[in-house]
Formats: sequence, structure tokens, C-alpha cells
Amino acid sequence: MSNGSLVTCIVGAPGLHLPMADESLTSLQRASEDVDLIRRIRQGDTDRFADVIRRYQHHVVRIVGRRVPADHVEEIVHDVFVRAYFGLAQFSESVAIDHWLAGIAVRTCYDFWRARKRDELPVSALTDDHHRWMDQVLATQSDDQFRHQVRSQEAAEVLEWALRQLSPENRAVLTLVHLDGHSVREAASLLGWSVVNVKVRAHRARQALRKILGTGLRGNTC
Amino acid sequence: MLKHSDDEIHKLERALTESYRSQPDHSVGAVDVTQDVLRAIRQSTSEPSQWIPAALLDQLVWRTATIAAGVVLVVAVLTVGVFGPTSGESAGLLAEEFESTPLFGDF
Repeated sequence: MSNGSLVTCIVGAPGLHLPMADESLTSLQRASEDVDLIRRIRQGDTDRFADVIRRYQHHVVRIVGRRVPADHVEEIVHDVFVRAYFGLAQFSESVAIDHWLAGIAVRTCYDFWRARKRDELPVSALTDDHHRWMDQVLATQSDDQFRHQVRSQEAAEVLEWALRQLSPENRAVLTLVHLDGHSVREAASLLGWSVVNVKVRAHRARQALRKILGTGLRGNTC
Repeated sequence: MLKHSDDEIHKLERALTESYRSQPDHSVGAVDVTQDVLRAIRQSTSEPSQWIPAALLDQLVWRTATIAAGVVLVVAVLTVGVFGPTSGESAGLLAEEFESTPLFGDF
């Protein structure tokens, strides 16, 4: 067995290792240190949890930073680690800690959007700049032009406008499967939902997004 | 009503997906929650009566429900087993029913 495959076997169950996890964290030494660290924290050495935060904070920030507005990232990352601490009893040593934390991060972001939906914050309308960006994207002829449009600020704003109109469930699944590019199985594992549920939701979420984009296009008077 | 073609929607969808993937990560160095998290943990653990971990509560509810369902199932099976008619009895009753009914031509 090669060293790489040995590491995969020990660090996490097959199919559970995520590409978004920092590859440098999945070393054999790091895995055994993590297991030791978690055991000590479970035995009551709370201060050692600071090592877990320091080690995986960047990993969690990267996940959360793509899911919630920038001014809420710190608050959500804080909640993720507090949840992780109080959920240590459920942590299984057969799963890599970065994957376990990724699941908590994804579910905490989902809860954030559920709370927002309850508060029914209005979704702002698209501006002329956004409509112009859409027209320019549709008019692009070359890959260079397309890539240039994709990197603009308007692209990120239109995406956020569309995502905010989705239900929290659809938003969570669409982000994981269509935007992050995770498999349905990985998304189900992160969200703690069944594979069938995620599969159905992924299809519906994409249909909903396409409908939203259709209504956002200039000239659509439906 | 003006309908946009599937190709246009698909192109827009692809642009948004690539936009998402090309966005830089949130500046990781700007966030350090270590001290805040430890403070929150200490505060929560020093006030056990005011803070019940949701995960433990969930676990308790599900375990109680599972045990209750198991007990009900066992009692139901035992009740049917003790008070229900045995297969021998029911076969005997059925045979008597048939014997007491005259068949055509048996006068």
C-alpha cells in the first residue's frame, strides 16, 4: 500500500474525504495528533480545544466565507466551534476532523439562512448595472470576454441576489452540489440528510435557480 | 411575454458558477475566534443549569422514544401470543363449521 492510500484509510472513511479540506492537514501524524487531542479534551482538558481552533480555523473560515455575508463570518465561525465542542461526544474517530467540522460549518450556515428566512428580510432588486452585466454575458463571443465578465463584482452580486430567493434548503444543496462541485453523497454526508433527499433537492434547486434567472433577465415581462 | 431560451439561461448559470469558483476566499487571517470560543465554552460549562446542550437533549428524546416503542412492541407481541387463539383451536372451529353445513344432495 502506498503512503498516500495508507493516509486516506486511516484519516477518514472512503468517500468522506473532501476536496475542499486542506490537503496539508491530512497527514498521518496530524491525524494521530488530532485523535489524541480530542481524547484529552473529552477527558476534561478544555484548554486544549484552543489547539483544535487554531489548527482548523482557516478551514472553517473558507467554508463559512463562501456561504454567509462577510460581516457575519466571524460570528458563524465562532458558533461552529462552540457547536463542535459541545458535540464532541458524537465525534467518531473514524472520520477526519476536518470533514466533521465541515459538516458542522455547512449546517450552521444553513441555520443562519433559515433564521434569515424567518425574519423575512426583503431581497433587493437588480440594478441597471446588473441587467447590463447579464446582457454583456449573453453577448460574449469569446472565452476571454466570458472570463472577464465572470470576474466582475456584478457577477457575485447577481449570484447572491439569485441565491437569496431560494429556500434555505435549496440554497444549501445548490451551493454544495452545483457551486462547490461536491457529489450528492458528499453533500448528504455534510448536511446529515439522506442521499435521495439531496438528489431530489439538487434537481429542484437548479430548476428554481433557472426560473429566477429567467425572471431577472431584462425584457422578461412575465 | 418574452421568453428567454434555455441556452441563454444556461450561459448565465455557467457564468455565475464560474464567478462563485473564482471568488477569493474570505481573508482567513482577519478572523481569530480562539479566545471568544473558549470564553463561551467556560461560561456555558460554569452555568450547567442554564444551558442544556441541544445535542444531549436530542439524544435523550430519541433514546426514550426508541425504548418506549420497543416496550410497546414487546407487550403487543406477548398479548397476542398469550390471549390469541391457537392455530389448533381455530382449525378445529373451522372444521366444525363445515361439518354442520349440509352439502347439496345430503338430505
